[in-house]
Amino acid sequence: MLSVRLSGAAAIAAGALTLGLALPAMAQQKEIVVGVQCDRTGATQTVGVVFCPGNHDYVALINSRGGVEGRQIKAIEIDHEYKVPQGVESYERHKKEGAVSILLYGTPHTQALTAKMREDKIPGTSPGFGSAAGADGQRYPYLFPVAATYWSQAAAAVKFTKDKLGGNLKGKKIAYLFYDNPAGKEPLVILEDLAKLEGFELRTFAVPAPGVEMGPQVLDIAQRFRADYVIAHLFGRSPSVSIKEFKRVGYPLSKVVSLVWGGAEADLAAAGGGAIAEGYNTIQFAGVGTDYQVHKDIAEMYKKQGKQPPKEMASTVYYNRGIFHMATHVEAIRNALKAKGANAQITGEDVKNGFEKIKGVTLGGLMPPMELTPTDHEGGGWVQIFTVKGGKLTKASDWFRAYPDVIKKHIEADAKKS
Amino acid sequence: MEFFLLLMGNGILIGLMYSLIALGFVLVYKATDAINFAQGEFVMLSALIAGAVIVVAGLPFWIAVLIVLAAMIGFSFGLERVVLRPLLGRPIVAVIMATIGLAAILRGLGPFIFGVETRSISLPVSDDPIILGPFFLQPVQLTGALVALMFLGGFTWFFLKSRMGVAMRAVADNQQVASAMGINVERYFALAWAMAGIVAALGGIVWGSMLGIDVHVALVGLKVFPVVILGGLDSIPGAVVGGLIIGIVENVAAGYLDPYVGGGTKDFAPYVLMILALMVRPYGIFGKRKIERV
Repeated sequence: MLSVRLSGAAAIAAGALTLGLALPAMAQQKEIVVGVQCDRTGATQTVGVVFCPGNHDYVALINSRGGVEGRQIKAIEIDHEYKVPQGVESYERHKKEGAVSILLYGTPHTQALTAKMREDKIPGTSPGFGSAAGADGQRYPYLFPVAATYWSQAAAAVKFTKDKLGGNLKGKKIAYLFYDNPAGKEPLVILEDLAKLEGFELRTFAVPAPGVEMGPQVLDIAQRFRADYVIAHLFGRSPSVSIKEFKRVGYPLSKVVSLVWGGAEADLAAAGGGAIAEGYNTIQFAGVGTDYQVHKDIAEMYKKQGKQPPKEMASTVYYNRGIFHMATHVEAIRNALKAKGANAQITGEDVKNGFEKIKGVTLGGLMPPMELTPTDHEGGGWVQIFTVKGGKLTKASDWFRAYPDVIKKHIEADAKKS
Repeated sequence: MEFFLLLMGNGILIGLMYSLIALGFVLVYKATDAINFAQGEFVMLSALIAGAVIVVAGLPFWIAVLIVLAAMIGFSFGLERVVLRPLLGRPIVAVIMATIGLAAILRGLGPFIFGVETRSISLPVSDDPIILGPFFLQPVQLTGALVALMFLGGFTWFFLKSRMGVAMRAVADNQQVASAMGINVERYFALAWAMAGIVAALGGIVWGSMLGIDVHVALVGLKVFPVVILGGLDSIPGAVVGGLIIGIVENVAAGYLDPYVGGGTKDFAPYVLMILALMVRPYGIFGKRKIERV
């Protein structure tokens, strides 16, 4: 008798649990849930405080216009302080909320979550950070770099350096100044390969977290190694510190090119303003500035609500990337709804297929001419260079990609490792 | 050799700037026998106030310096009165725990009140280096080092020659005896904390202009622990010598060892030195031979 009661109670409990778990998924019928990982606090907070408002403003704009194929999007943000345990926890919470896709943030987090996303069939995007091998859609079906990976950025930096040094790198000295974590180390294989290919001497200089001091490294680069050019790959507080240090040892900032996390308006402001950073070169995977229709549309949306546009819009590098990042999810969801019907319940797998059909979405030039396919989840690896001129980031190149054959070779070599 | 001299020069200037912060530890320890584990956060708070006053409010630099000094003296007085005075006579570990708690509160409240963005302030000196032979002197570091030297000299004189300084040393030596001799112990405690506030204010402005202003400035406090342990917790000359040794060691180590070990020696070399110092001479190079369990 007791066992019958117990089994009955267990059945009720199991039923309640199933119902409880099913409810968030059913709620997804009305709103399509997208998970937003954010870093408004922690070592890289300077990014998140601007990037994440860009995510939300774009969703608000889409929703204000009737949503995607008539469906509203609900972006749920969780701050992970740029710490992996919190990043994994936020993923689990997003999964529980019924998210059909997740905006990841951070190379270590992306690496920690890649296998889980595949298991759960939830696509995640990692624009501008690791893992670079995630560009291989066959091998990482649920991971989408959606913008130039660190490998493509490193290749672009070498091409830019080559152009700046007269089209020939033979015998030249290039210093790689990097934040000492998995993200900082990721481009090393490409740089080492290109050093052999182009005949330049590469020397690496690691900066430990949180990167607020790099006096010895900068002295070494400028006075002992005497680098012809510096490729910097720093994040958080360290880009502004590097700008100050190079300036203080008299090394010309026009001989420094930074990968994508070291070239925002916030970095220039933290270094003492654009005038200090004159000549500094930055790689960008989204357009910089406010001269895009989407900016005007967001400003108009705020105006209709009787509000002023947020101050974050002025920090265009990260804000625009926030728009870019969310726009890829919106387009993937749009493609999924187009494939299954506007009122259909879409799953992570549908959105994954939607990502693989993104093509020709440029937001008036804010996004590169990218094309995602089942094999290429990077979309081509396009970047632009912006240079600090007159205290402001000024466009110095059109969209370009560099050494695609070298990148392809490394993606294939990485695939053979497992 | 040229590179070695460059690293040495850089290390000496940075070391003197560490000494300025170390002085905050020493002043409090000399007067109250307690280590202020929130000294780095005091520096951070000063920098955040300087950033708000200069960048947000747009006030001139020298006015900002006065405001930060006044704010930090007021803060330290208030802190002594509200938090630390009730702990008078309690075990020293209570004061230490209070300062650790205070550090956590300030790290949380700082960004909450002043915002998370990194602000930049400049000392009224050029950004371009002064080149003297092999040395590349950074005007900001040079200014920081000069400010540190000035205040180190001033406090040394204060403790050795002035009546109040002697009284403060008496209070630190034995609170009960000092009290019996008619010295107002509470007043001198408050004075010590106010002096730590002054040092933090100057350190915050100097380090804030070096690094940029946000919560990360507090990390300087961690760097200063090896300085005071090495030099001696109760010694002003110790703060100078400790600062110089740590500044030079971390720069030279980073310059020569980083290429072989992949980086990071700048951060751990001072702590290796600190542990060695604790093993060989736990009271520091200039510290008094008095050991207590903490």
